[in-house]
Amino acid sequence: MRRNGPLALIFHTIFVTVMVAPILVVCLVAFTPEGHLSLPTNGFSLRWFRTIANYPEFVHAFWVSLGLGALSSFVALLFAVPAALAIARYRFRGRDALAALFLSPLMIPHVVLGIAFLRFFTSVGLSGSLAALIIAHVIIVFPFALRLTLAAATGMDLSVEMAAVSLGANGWTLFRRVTLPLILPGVISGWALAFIQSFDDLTMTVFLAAPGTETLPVRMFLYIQDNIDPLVTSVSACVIAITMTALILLDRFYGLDRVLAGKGDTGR
Amino acid sequence: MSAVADTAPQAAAKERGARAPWAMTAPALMLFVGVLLIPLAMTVLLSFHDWGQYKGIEPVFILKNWHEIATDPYYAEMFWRTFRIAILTTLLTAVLGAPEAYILNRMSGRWKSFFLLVILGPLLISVVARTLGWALLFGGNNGLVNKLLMSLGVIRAPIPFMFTETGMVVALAHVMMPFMVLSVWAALQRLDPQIENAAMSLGAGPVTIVRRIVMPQIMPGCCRARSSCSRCRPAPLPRPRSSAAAGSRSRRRSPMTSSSTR
Amino acid sequence: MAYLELDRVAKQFGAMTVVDGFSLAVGKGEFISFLGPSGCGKTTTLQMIAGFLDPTRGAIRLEGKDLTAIHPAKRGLGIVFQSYALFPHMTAAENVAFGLEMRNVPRSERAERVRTALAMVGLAGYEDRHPRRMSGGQQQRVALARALVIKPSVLLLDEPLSNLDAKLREEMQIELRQIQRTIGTTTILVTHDQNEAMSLSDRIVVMSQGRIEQIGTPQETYERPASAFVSQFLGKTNDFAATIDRTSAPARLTAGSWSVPAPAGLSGPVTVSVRPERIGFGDVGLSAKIVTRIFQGNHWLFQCDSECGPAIVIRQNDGQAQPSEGEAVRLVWRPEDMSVRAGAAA
Repeated sequence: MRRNGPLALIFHTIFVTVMVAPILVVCLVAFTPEGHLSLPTNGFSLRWFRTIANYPEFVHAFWVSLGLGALSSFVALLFAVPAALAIARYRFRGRDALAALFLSPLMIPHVVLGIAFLRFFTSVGLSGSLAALIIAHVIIVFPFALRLTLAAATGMDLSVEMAAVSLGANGWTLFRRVTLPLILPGVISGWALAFIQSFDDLTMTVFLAAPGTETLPVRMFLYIQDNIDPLVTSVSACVIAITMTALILLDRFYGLDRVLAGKGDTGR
Repeated sequence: MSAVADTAPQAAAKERGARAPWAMTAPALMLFVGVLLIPLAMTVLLSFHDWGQYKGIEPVFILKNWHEIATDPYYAEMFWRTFRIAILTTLLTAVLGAPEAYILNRMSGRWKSFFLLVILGPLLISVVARTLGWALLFGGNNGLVNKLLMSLGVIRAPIPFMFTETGMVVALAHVMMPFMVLSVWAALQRLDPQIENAAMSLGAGPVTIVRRIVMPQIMPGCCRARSSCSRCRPAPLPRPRSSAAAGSRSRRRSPMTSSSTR
Repeated sequence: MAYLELDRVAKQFGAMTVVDGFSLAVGKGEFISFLGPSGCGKTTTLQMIAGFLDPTRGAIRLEGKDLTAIHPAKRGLGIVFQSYALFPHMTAAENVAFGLEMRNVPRSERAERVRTALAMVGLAGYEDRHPRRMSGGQQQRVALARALVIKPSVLLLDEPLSNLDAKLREEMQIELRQIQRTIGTTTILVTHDQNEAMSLSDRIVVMSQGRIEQIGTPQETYERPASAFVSQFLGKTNDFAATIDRTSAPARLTAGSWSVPAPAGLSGPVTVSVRPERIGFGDVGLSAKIVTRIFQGNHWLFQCDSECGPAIVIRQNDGQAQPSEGEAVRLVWRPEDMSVRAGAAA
């Protein structure tokens, strides 16, 4: 493999700087001792991190986001795993249409989904409830759960399953002892990606969240609309720190490129 | 004929029951019909209903709303702006993302995975936090970016970034960039490095290699990323209060583009 | 009564017939090979015995019972797949134990049988290894142990050696044969390698395009090929176009300037098939010219241009002087070394 020239390296440096700059600046501003948004020029302060404690709604929103993300991703997988196995294994009429339907939440703008869900849940009397939020999130994270599971199921050597059958395994035993362990890496990264999508969604959630069920992005968005002060940067910095830790762990144990590229195969 | 022997296991799996795939997809299908298709259909239906300040929504069938969208120049302007921003964002992403993916692919193992993490990381960081970062960088006429550019002598007067299309395109390109890099990088991964060497041994220079050998092979990856970029709609820079009006522009996080499973 | 019996089994995928009229009776303890090029239907037939495919027509019986009515999980057959199909998330011992677990074999007995099975394939001490940390040959042995430990009524081998290199393949062939002889399991091997089929099997089923071409012992199929396909597929052969003239008495078989008394039965245009190692150089016979002469250590390989088309001759390197390139020779063989079939040579 040939090396990159100096020009390429300069381009690369600028590129990476621009990619990190907005995130870096948020983290830096979070340490300002001033009362307004500014880069800390006269000393670092944890003042705005301490302030978070005075706003229990941020802490509450964080727990809502965490629970919502974990639960909706899990529920999405309960539906996605059998569907992915069917799509990967069988050629049946309507297969392509089904796959397109299951991936369609990716194609529909979240604003449209937000409006549609709002109207729907209002008419069935679930508006503003946590249940409505969970159902809506299951739909928007479903494509991610499906895709990574599908990639894993497609890459699986079918003769392994046949071997298990010939040895007497069948039905649930076959799934639990052989199929699931083989697609597990794809399922786990599908869950992780679905969780991140759910944790991060603002555009759709803002339509459905009510006081008490506000997620962290919604809470932050609403806060920015009223006040611009460094509090929101310190909250962001916390979220960034948590995300980065999770990312590094995921990369260590599984490989980030595999998670994001959806290569859920068990080989390698 | 050899295909027959190779597909035998596949065929075997298929034979185990014609109803099985439907039973396995039925729960997900019911979920999607119940809480996606029905709400969407209701929304479409809503577009034909009448609405008034005092009478609320009236379930009648009229084309008033559609007629308004088609004739009011406000909407035409909005659609056109959305489209323009999407195109510009896509172009910017492709022009910068593709070369970066190429450079990334030529790095040695450890650096490659480090920078991949750095570039893909933002993808998973809250969009609110990232957008806030851009607002801080742009921040009025004396934002960091303007200060830097002026001190470098690139520009004389500050560029207005906030609440402008320029700022939106930059911030959106930042959001979409990881997808572009990832798609092109995945396409590059499938290339045989020996092909580049073969081209070189036949006398091709670096530019020719990229133009004639590398580009044609990674174009599918670029296109996939591009289609997902154009699917994105501008993420509003935090725009207090007035965002409700302009905010009908939704942010679209696009799909993981690089691996189509079939 | 036959132990395993396939009765006019056929398999169709849509309009395409992949296997047709397949009838075979396998005796208990026999080692049978399905031999043929890829796409000849041998794997499909194996899959039907295993139960992963259902025959379109015909019956498969094991000890007189209809096998097709039994779910693949309940058939109790041992299968070794081409890809080995080991469970990557289990150790070697766990892989081997899986089938016993499914049969609810008590834990202590299970451990004992797993140990014995792994020892039998020469993998004692590898119990806790994961498949990905084993070589291809070792994985293959685990797959074999896993299939044998459940004491299968029939052992099915689907191209089990094709992923191994030549030397290892030869070792495994010998070992496979020894194991099979020791435990006496009825075995069916699917292969496209005629050497493998010949060195392992009691009988070979040669298949082509979904049909059985010939069933016989390795020696029979080699020396008395029933069709042009069999003679071509099982090693190199020479086919000469010849005619049998029954108008003269005694009847004569003639090919070019070579002529012998005709065998009984056939008449008109026929094909004379002779293996290259059975042809010698003599004074009377088919006239030919040597085109190339290749030295291959223990033998010489001659490519000749005979009056009835190209011919290959293999001569043992026994120290005798051999004809050189360009030399005119006469090709001779004993009548019992040739087989004569009706119809002109292709």
